[in-house]
Amino acid sequence: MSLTIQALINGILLGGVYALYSAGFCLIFGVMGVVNIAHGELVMLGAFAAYWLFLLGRIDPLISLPISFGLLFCFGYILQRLLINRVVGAPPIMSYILTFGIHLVIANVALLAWTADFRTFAVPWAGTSLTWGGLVIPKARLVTFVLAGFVVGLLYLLLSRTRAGRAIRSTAQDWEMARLMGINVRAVYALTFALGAGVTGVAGSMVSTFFVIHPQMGLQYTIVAFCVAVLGGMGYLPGALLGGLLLGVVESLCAALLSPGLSVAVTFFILFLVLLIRPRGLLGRGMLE
Amino acid sequence: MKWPRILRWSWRILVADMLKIAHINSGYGDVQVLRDVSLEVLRGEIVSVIGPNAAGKTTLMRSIVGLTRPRAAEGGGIFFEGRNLDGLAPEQIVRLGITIAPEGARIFPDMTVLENLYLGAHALKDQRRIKGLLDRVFRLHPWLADRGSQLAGTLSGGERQMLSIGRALMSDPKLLLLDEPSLGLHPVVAEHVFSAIQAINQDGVTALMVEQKVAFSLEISARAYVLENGSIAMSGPAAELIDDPHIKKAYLAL
Repeated sequence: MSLTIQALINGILLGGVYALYSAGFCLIFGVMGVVNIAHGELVMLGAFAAYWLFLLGRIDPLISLPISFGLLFCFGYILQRLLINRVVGAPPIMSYILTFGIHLVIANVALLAWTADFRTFAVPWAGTSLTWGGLVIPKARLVTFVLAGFVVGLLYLLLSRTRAGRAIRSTAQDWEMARLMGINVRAVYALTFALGAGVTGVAGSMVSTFFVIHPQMGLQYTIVAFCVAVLGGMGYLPGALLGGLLLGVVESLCAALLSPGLSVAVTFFILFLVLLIRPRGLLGRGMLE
Repeated sequence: MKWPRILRWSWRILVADMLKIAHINSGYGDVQVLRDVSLEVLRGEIVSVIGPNAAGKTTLMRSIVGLTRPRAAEGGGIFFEGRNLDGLAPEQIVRLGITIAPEGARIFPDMTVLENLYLGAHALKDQRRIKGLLDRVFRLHPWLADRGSQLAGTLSGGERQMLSIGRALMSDPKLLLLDEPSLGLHPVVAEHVFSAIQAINQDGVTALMVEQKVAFSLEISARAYVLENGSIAMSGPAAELIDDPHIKKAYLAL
């Protein structure tokens, strides 16, 4: 019994990690209709930002989070302005090809710069756990979980309460009309991508405190982000929280109760079912292509 | 020679037409929709463009706001208060004082009524001015004030159209473009929309309207143009056109 509860706790915490790095993916798709295959590279860059800041500057990853956010925000802004803007509104295949190319370039430049070594680093507090009645809660994951809720909440507030958020949402709904409101949609796209990248950088930094990092780590994160987005509904931000939690719990329970090898199979089976039965996501609020 | 700024401004405000379209061609790709279209709108007027489906009315509207790029003959183009709009992006044109209530209203369905209205004023900074504009819209459509937090997607067709016009007014436009404001509306509701347009005009907003409900639109217009097969077939004061045999036969079913 306690094994199941422990697996459930692990799953919920893992789900928080998934939700945190999928939120940016969801936001970018929701506003621009771009499936960003280079999303995992943003996670990787965020992870390496935290890694180097800790190694060279002795800055705790929690404290360097704003720096990761800022770095990835700028990187995302430039990427959008220079490249991705050209495929917004084009057929989806164009954005797949472009972002796949960006994925290859970033991953391989990183490989050149940082070698293929697997890296970890020990932040004193991140290695410890809270224990309670035989249940173990790793601190780093708990912090990530709380941060996921906080970041998604903050993004949600930004989108729903601010003038810039209003511009972003109107552009997502009808970009032509948004232009006729005097909104510069290119600037909105750049801001959206920058925000998405920044949040993903934060996720990457947190991931680096408990997972091994290396330059080729990106693609698996892209795949999970894609699954989370489909489960929660493509482009629907609160859906990222739900999708992430669900995916985390399913994976973790499968690994504990059935077999670790089956968890991916079960995940994809659920994904298949959702696409078949609820193509707009579990809450029915996502977009269809 | 460069004219002193004061002279250029007075020219724009006092002498130049509100909107002057001279010899433009427009279309999508290889398909030419508008052929050598010229028209003008004077300050304070309501001008109608009537014509059958697929005559190019919507293309004309899209060309004015820059969503479709017109090609003009030598010396032609689209001029707003004497200023050539060629090469300006829609978001720049809108900031000059032109706004549109497009075909099918196209309100933002997943946003509230109030958010839609605030988006109309997106280009403005002065909060007191925005408040004043909001009051003007609420005076025009009092029901909007009570439904501010309702999602716009849940409004009826007529309500959407009125919200769309309200949203357009929030940018404090000099020229309001109306693309088939009565499309799909019950005649009673359509009449409501037309009287709202008349009230807006009396408030000092010039309007260029594309319509299929010809009798209604001629009634409130000063002048009208007939657009057929992408060219201007007739034009004149609305009161004269309403008695014209061709108009009566083709559009008024008399």
